[in-house]
Amino acid sequence: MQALVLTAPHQFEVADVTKPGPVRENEVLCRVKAIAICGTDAEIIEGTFQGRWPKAYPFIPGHEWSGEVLEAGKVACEFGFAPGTRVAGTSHSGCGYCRMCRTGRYNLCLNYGREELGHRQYGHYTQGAYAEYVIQTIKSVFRIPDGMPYDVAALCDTASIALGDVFVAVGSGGMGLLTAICAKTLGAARVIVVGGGKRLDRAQALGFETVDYHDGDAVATVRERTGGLGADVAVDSAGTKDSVRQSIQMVRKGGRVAFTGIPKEPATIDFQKIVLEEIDLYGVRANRNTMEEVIPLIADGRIPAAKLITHHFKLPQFGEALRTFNERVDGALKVIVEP
Amino acid sequence: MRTMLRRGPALVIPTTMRAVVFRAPNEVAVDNMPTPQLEAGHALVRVRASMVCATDQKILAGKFPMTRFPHVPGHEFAGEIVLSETGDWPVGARVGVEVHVGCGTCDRCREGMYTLCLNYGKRETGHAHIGFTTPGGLAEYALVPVAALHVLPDAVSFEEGAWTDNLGVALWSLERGRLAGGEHVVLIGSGAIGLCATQLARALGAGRVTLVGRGERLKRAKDLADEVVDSAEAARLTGTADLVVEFAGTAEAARQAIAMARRGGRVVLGGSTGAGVELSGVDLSTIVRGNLDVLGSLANPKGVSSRGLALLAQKKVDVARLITHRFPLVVFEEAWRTFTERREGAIRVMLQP
Repeated sequence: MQALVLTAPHQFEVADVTKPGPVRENEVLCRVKAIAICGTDAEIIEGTFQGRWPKAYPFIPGHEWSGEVLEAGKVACEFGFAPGTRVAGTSHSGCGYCRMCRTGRYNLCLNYGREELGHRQYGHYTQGAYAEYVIQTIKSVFRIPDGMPYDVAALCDTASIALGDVFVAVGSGGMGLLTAICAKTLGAARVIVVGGGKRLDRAQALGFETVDYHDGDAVATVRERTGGLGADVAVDSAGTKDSVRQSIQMVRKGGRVAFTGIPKEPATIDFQKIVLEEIDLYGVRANRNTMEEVIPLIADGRIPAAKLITHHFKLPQFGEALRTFNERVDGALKVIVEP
Repeated sequence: MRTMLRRGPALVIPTTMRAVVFRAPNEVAVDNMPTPQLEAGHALVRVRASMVCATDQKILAGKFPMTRFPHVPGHEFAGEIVLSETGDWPVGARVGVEVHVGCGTCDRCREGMYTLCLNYGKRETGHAHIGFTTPGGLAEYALVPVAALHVLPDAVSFEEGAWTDNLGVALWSLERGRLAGGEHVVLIGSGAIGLCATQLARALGAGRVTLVGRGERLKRAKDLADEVVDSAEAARLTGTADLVVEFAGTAEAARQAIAMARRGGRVVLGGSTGAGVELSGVDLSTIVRGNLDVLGSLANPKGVSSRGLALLAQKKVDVARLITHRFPLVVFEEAWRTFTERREGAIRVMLQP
C-alpha cells in the first residue's frame, strides 16, 4: 500500500510498504478516506519528540482520520464493527487494565508505550493513518453517521469539551477554533479568540470576538472587554510559554484555565494569582471518552467542523500539504490528506 | 403624590395602586391599595410584565402555611426601578426578579444556597420569598430587595425579563444533573419550566433532547426538542437517557424519570414543590443496581438566573413563544381562568399592570 513514511527527522517519502496485518480479535483494518494534519504531526515529522514519538524510524504518522472498516476481528465483529462500518479514529487506546484505564482515564494509561500489554497511541509511536490502510483497536474507533463526510469526520478527534460564561480561546489554530466552537455549542454567552494573522479572520467569520496579539497587550484587552474582571474560562491551545502565562492572567477570580497545547519548554506563571484568586488549572491530554458526545454535535451541524477545512491534498502530494499547513498558506487551518 | 426626578421627564408615583389581592384562601380580587414605601435595601419597581404560575394556585388554595392573607401574589415579573436609595440600582434601570432572598448570614446562605435559607419566612432577618412570604409582582408597583434584582440585557424585553426566575430554575436543574455536551437528555413536563429546560438543554450542547408531555401543550412545543413523546408512550424510553429532568410534579412522572435513566445515569426531580405527592411503585434496585444519581432540584440558587438571562440575550432560548395569552391586570379573573383551565393549551399568561 501507499503510505507516508518518516525515515529520519525532516525526512519523509510517500512509499510502497507492506499492508498491515494480521488483524487481531479486537481490531479492525480500515481503508483510510481522510486524514487531517495536526500541529503535533508537524512536530513529529520535525523530530521534536524523537525517541518518544516516534520511538524509531521508519514510521507512519497520522491520528486524526476517518475511513471504512474492511476487515474485523471476531470480537470487533461482535461489537458491531462489521466490514462496511464508517468510523472516525482517535489516537489513544489504553491497556484497559491499569488504574488509570479502569477509572476511564485511558489517555494516561500507566502502561503507556507497552504494546505487548495492549497499549497503543496511533500516529505517535504506533503506526498511524497516513496510509491507504490502518489497523486500530475498536477502543480507538467510533461509528459515524451515514451523512457525515469523511473529511469532516477526520476532525472528531480534535473537538474537545469546555463550558463557561465568557470564554477565551488562546490560539487561533484548528484546536483553538474548535474549543471556541465547542464553548459556543455548550452555551457560553461570549467567546473571544486570541490569536494572530489570517487565521483570526476565520475566527471573525465564525462569529467570534477576536483579539490580535500583535496589537499590543492581549491580556489587558481581554480584561478591558470583560469589565476589568477577566473571563470565566480560558483554554490555551497555543502551548507557548507566553500563551500559558497569558491564559492564566486573562481569567477572573475563581476562574478556570485548561491547557491543550503541548508546551516544549517550561513556562513561568504567576503563582500568587493562582493562590490568591483560587484559579483552577486543568491539563488536557488529547481526549478521553468524548468522541461519542462530539459525533452527534458535528453530525447535526452545531459544531461546524467543515468550516475549518481549508485545503485538500492527495497523499502523494503530502510535502505540499505539510508546507501549506506549516507556513499557513492562504490562512491554512485544517489540511486534509486523502490516501 | 410623590415625585422624583431622573434624566428626562419627572416621574410621578401615585400614592395608591391596583394589585391582585388574595383576600383569603380561594378569594381573589383586583383592589386599590397604598403603593409600597421605599425601604432600606430595596428598590421600588414599576411592574411592566407579570405572569401567573401554577404555584399561585397552591398559594390561593391556602397550601403555603407561610403566606399571610390578604396577600399580593406574583413571582414572575420584570419592570423598571422608580425609587432607589443607591446608585448601584439607578432609577430607570430595567430589571428582572428572582424570588428567593436569603438572610445572608445562615450556613446555607453562606454557601450560596439561599434558596434553602434557615431563616425562611422570617422577614426581620432579611429573608424574603417574593410573592410567597412577601408581596409580589401582580401589581402596578412592587417593593423588591435589591439582592433579587437582575439588570435586563438590552436585547431582553420586559415580557422576556419576566422569565428571569423561571430560566434560573430550569438552568439549575440541568446543572444539578451535570449535563455534558452530546448527551441524551429527556425532559418530562411540557409546562413553562419544562419547556425552558428543554431549550436550555440544547443551548448547553445536549446531543439529543426528548420532551415527554401530553395534550395541547406538547403539540405546541413540538419543534423545541429533537423528539416529543406522549407520556402514555414513555415506556419506550426506558433505560435510554444519560440525564432525565422532571418538571411535571406527579408521582407517575417521577417513576417514569427513574425508569428512563440509563445505568449510571442521573435523574433530577424538580416538579413536586408542594407537599403531598408520594412516590411508590419504584423498584429500588433500579436505582441501586443502576448506580443512579437521583437528585432533587429546588428553585434557583447561586445567582444562576443571571446566566439564564445571558443565554436569553443570546437568543439561545425563546420564551416569547411560551407566552400564549395577554391580559391587562384589571381583568385578572379572566387571565386566571385561562391559565388554570389550560384554555387553548395555555402555557404562560402575561399580565400588563
